[in-house]
Formats: sequence, C-alpha cells, structure tokens
Amino acid sequence: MKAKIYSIISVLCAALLFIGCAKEKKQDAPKVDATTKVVGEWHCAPEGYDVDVYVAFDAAGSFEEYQRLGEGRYRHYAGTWSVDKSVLSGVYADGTEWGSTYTLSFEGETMTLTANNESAEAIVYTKTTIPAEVKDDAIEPLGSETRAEECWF
Amino acid sequence: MRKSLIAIGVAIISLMTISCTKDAGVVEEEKTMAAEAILEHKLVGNTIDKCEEGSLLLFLEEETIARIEKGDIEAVKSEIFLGGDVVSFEPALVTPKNEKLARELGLHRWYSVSFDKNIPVRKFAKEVAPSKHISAIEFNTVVALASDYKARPMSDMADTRDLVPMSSFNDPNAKYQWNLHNSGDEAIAKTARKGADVGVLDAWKLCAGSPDVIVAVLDGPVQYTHPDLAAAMWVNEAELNGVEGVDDDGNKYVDDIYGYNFNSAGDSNGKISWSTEGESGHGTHVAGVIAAVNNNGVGISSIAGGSGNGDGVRLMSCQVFDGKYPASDRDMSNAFIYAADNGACIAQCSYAYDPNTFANDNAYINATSLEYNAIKYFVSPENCNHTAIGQNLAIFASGNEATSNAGYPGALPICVSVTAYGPDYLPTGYTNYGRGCNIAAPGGDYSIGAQNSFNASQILSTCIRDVAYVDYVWMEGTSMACPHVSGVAALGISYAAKIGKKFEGDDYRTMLLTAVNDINSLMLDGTKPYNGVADAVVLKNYHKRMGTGAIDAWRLFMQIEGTPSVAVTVGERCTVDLREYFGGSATDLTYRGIEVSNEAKAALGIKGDPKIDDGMLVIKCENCGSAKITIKAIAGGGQLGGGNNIGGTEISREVSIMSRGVSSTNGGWF
Repeated sequence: MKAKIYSIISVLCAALLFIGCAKEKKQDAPKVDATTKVVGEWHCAPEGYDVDVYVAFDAAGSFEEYQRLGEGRYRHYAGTWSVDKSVLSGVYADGTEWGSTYTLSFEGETMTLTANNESAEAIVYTKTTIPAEVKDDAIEPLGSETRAEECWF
Repeated sequence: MRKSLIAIGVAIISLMTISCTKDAGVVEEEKTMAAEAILEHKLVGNTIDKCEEGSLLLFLEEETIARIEKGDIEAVKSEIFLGGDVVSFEPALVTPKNEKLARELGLHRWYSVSFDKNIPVRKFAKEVAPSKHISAIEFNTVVALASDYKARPMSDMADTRDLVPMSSFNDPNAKYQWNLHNSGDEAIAKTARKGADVGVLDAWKLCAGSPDVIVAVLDGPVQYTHPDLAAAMWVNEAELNGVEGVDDDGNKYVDDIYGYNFNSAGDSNGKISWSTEGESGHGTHVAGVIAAVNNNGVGISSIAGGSGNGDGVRLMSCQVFDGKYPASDRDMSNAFIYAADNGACIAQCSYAYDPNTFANDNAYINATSLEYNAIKYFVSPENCNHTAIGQNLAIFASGNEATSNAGYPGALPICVSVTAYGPDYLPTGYTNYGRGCNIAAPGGDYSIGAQNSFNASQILSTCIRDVAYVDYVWMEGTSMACPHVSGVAALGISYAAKIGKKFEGDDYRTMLLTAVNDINSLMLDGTKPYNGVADAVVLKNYHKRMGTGAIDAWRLFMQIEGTPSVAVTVGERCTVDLREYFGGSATDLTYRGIEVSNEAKAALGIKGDPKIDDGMLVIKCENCGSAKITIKAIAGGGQLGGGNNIGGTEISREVSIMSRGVSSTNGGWF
C-alpha cells in the first residue's frame, strides 16, 4: 500500500514537472506570438475621443495607418514597426518616432496597446478589414506638402 | 470738423461782405478764393488727377435727398447749378435692390452731374461747391487694368515642345497650361518648377464646377460668343426671351442678357461691346482662366469650367472698360451693385489704382467713397448670393508696378489682393507685393520663358478673334493671377455645395486665404531676371511679402471637408504645426493672438495661456479631452489694414485640440 502511495506521488510529481515544463514553453510563446498576432488590420474608435483609426501591420515590419481626428478625411501615415518582449515600437516614414512605445496584450479579436509613459493610456483595437473607401479616399497629411502628381481619369 | 465749419462760415461771411463793399474785379477774385476754400473742404480725394472729364459725383445732404424724393429734383437742380447748363443730373447709381442697405451705406445720396467736357472739372466743382445741398464732391476717378495689355497670339508658340496632356479632358491646348498643372517642363521655362500651379487636377476628381456659382467679371467685355466661353455665360433668361429694347425682368437694365456694359465714357449704350477702338481682349482672357468650358474638344481647360457636362461655373460680363475708354468710379460702383443684385457671388476685378495713389485705407475711402461703399454693398452678408458661403467675395489684382504695396481697392481688408508668380514658383518682376497683398497665384512670366518660346511661360487663355486674329493668347500680369484665385474660390463654393457644407460670415474667405502652399522658403536668397536684366528680382525682398502663400485648390477642398484635430500629449508642453489650418506658410504668418474660453481651459486643463512661437502653437494640457481654441492671424504682411494703415486682413481659425496620453510630433496617431 505504502509503495502504491509512493508510486502515485511519484507519478503526480512527474506530471507536475511535465506541466511545469509545458507552462515554461507557453511562457516563451508571447515573444513569437505577439509579433505574429500584431500582423493584420485593426481598428480603434476609443470612447471620449472624436477619432477613427485603422492600421495595417504587415509581416515585413511595415505599417499603413489611416486616421481621422475630428473632421475631414482620413490622413494616411506609413512607417515601420517591431516588437521586442511584447513591446511595440515604430517609426513613421518621415523619421518621426512614435509618441510612445506600447505594451501589447491580446484577448480574442482585440489588441490592447498600453502606452509606456506616465499616462499609461490604453487603447483597444479590434481586428477588422480596412474598408476600401478609407484607403482610397485617404490623403497625405497636408502639412507634408506632398500631392499626387500623376494624371487622372 | 469744427475748424472746417468755421472755415466755411468765414468763407460765406466773407463772400457776403465782399459782395457789399468791394469793386467788381476784387470781389470776383476774392469770391474765387472763398469758393476754392469751400471746394477744398468738400472735395474728397483731391489728390486724384485722373478723372472723367465733364463729370462729377456729388454727395447730397439728407434734406436735399428728401426733397428730390418728393419730386422736387428740378428745383434742387436749379438751386445747385444756379440755372447753369448741365447735360444731366441724376442718381449716380441705378437703385439697388437692397434699398435698406444702400441707404445705410449712403449710396442713395450720390448724384452724378454731367456737363460740357470743355469746362475743366475743377472749375465746375468750384462753382457748385458752395451749394448748401452738397455735402461732398468727388471727382469721377478713372482706373486702369492690371495688365501690360500685350496679347501674344498662340500661333507664335514654338511647335517642337514635348508636353504631355495634363488630364483626360480633351481640350487640345491644355498641355500648355502650366498654371493648372506644372510638370516642371523646361519647354515652358528653364527654371520651371514641378507643382508650381493651382493644384486643380486632384480637386477636379471631386468637383469641376457648378452652374449656380456666378462670377461677375468687372473688366473689359467677355466675348460671350467665344467658342470656349459661350456655354459658360450666365444668361438672363427673361432678357434673352424678352423684347429687344425693353427691360423684361424689371431690373432697370435693358437687354442685359449676359451682363451689361457700364462704361459711361464710350458710346456702347449698355451693350457689351468688343469692337470699340483700343480693345485688348483683357476681360475675355480673364474669363477663360475661370470658366472656359472643359472637355469640349476646343481650346483650353479652366479652373472651374466643369467636366464637359454643362457643369461649369457661370460668367457674368460686367463690362466697365470699353476699348480706349477707361472706367470711372461711377461705372465700377454700378457694376458692383449689379453683380450683387443679379446673383454673382464673386466679383473678379483685375484692376487697381496705381499703388502710389493712396497711402492708406482712409485715403482710398475718402477719395473713392462711392466705389468703396459699392464694394461694401457687394460683400455685405445680407447680399450673399450663394447658400454655401456667408458673404460674397471681391477679388482684385495687386497691380503691376513692382511696388512694395498693393494697389487699391484690393488692398482693403474687405477685399482679396492677388500677387503673381511665374512657372518657377517665384515672384514675377512686375508684381506688386508687401502691404495689402493677401495671396499669390500664377500670373505668367515672359522674362523667364524658354528660348524660342518665351510666350509659354505666360498664361494661355481665351481672346477675342477680332482683336488678336486668334481665339487664344498668352498674357501676363497680376490681372492674370487674380482670376486664378477667383476660379479656385468658385470651384470651392461648388464643392462645398456639392457635399452640403455651409460656412458663416467670413469663414470661407479665411479658408481661401489659408488654402496655400509655401513659397516663402524659395525666397530666402538668389535673384531672377526681369525684362532682360539678369538679377533684376532680388528674391529676399519678397520673402513673406507675397501674401499667405500660393493658392491651391486641393488644399481648399480639404479645408472645406473639415480640418483634423491637433493632437497633443497630456502633461507635456507641446509645439504644434498649424499648416493644416493656416496653409503651407503657417510658420511665416504674423499671429494676432489666441482665444481660449473658460470651458476649453477647464476641459483641457490649461493653466497658462497658449502662445505662438516661431509660427507654431505652444500649449500644455493637464487633462485628457477635446476643445476648440481660436487663433487669429494676418493674411498678408505684418500689420493689419484699416484706418491710416495699409496692410493685411485678419483671419481667424477655430483649432480643435485633442489632449491624450500619447501624440506624435508629426500628427500621427501612434
């Protein structure tokens, strides 16, 4: 009986060890997962702000952002992004760094970006497909002095 | 004022005394001196030496007007002119529709007297000045067009250039219109700069005009039979379908089908005429820039000429210049009233008094009070002729004297004054600039034209065949720059209406003046040629003096659609770029102040006052949230016009601030 009890305890311990190992493996995953999970198209329209933002992160490390702050058309921004230890950072194409880095967390079809500054502002993004009209009608920020030069029609 | 009254009193007493005691010769001489003193007192704008012969404008006393309105005009006439012979004595203006406003502006008190042209105007004025009926006397000043009058026919152009069509509009000569789309082609000018245009191509994707937008062209005649303009004309259907020689629509003008000829010096009797000796085709050229019909397989494209489906803006020909006959103050004034009363929402005015004529706003207003008040009548909000905007726009050329201030009336803060740049995006050698100038547009620059095709660096537009033997010519001048701003303004109104936007008060004009690209950064140093002199134009002299920047139709459209909020980081002192609000030259504007309501302060947690530093908004918000603040600036120069100043016009923008935990310095969300 005693031996039986010992063997059951040994099995349980071994199982616990395995479980521990398996959990350890799971803890490694976010580093890979976060990067993978970021890739895709997202939308946010946070409460309390008159804004509407779409962003597409691609696997090659580029992003396309379409934002409407208040009135007018969507303004198009682009640049590059990267993830390091669940922290998302990026640089706009004009060389401007993002206003903050963000800690990533995911739940279902949502991604929360929490600013790594005093504000700890957390914005929830929902997985979506960016509407074609948003992409088509978006313009470059007017301050950038860029304007399409090609012929039309 | 008191001093003046005393002077008049003394003069009258002396006249009475003289007549009692002196011998006839002395009496006459002293009478003349006294009359001279009275004239000096009553005469406004007495520095003007250019005025219409045989004509004077009289501002009558209210009591006199009351008598005339009771039918006593003949008695008044004989009292003023002492039975002397005058050709006519009548109200200076055809009665405006908005009589209440006209009375408030004193327009009903202006009378015009015509007399023998052999009598010197000043002598006649002196004789009538003592009349108790006359409050003020104004010479009927004449004014010139803002062009060199040189029309260079399109047939002169080199035909070896390799230019590409700018759009799929099938107007065959559009490829020469760098002013609409400048690809930087050296065939136009060796120094042509890509993008030095009015940015209309992208705007056309959204809207190319609307026939309910009417632009009155106060100029020489618009040839309403021109193949590229006929379909763009405003048509007074009642007159078109009415009886010749009859005022069918009761607007007090007979047979005004496409507009009217207001010139009183010539003998066209109200008929729009392009056969008068000395006709240059100027008004027709100006009209073509605004609304020559697009996509009709003929000639040129224009800024607001539609897409070929009858959807361009309409042109109302308010002819004030008639060949060799210049326009007078009275002619101009009647044209402004007519334009306001018959549906125009833009007055396109490529004329200006010489910039050295008037030192400041008061000097102009005193000298040409009738015209000033007629312009006020036109731009008054209650006379606004389009539902998308709060008031009509009066747009003028700054003038071509290469002088460091605009010519009047454009220099007035209630008007828009336009400077001229060439295909190199740089000031032209002829343009006026500096005080009173509000915005820049393509005016053409012969002096930088490519070898063998100098003409192409000017502005190609419609012309009168009877004048130039062709239908299209090149011209240059602020006269040509002015219709670019009128055209963009008309296009913007069309688009605002299309998307259901309405703007109050002065908001649309402010948007127009801030829908600009930066050109100041090109004027920090260097020179360019003019009239064969290599270094004639010293660019730094024009820095920050060409107005707010170069007009851009696309920017205007984006302002009409709505301007985005400015995002700032909570708790941080942020420096904000204002180019979305004040245009590409925002950092070079002179700012007048920032208004922040208590509610906005509370919402954003603003403790100190925001300020403008080096053309950027500096603000610190302690709370997350959104609110609007108002920023005021000067469009054109470092000082405001008005009173004894000549200067820019105040523009005011509501800027929406969004304070959040994160913001990027380039305005991006992340």
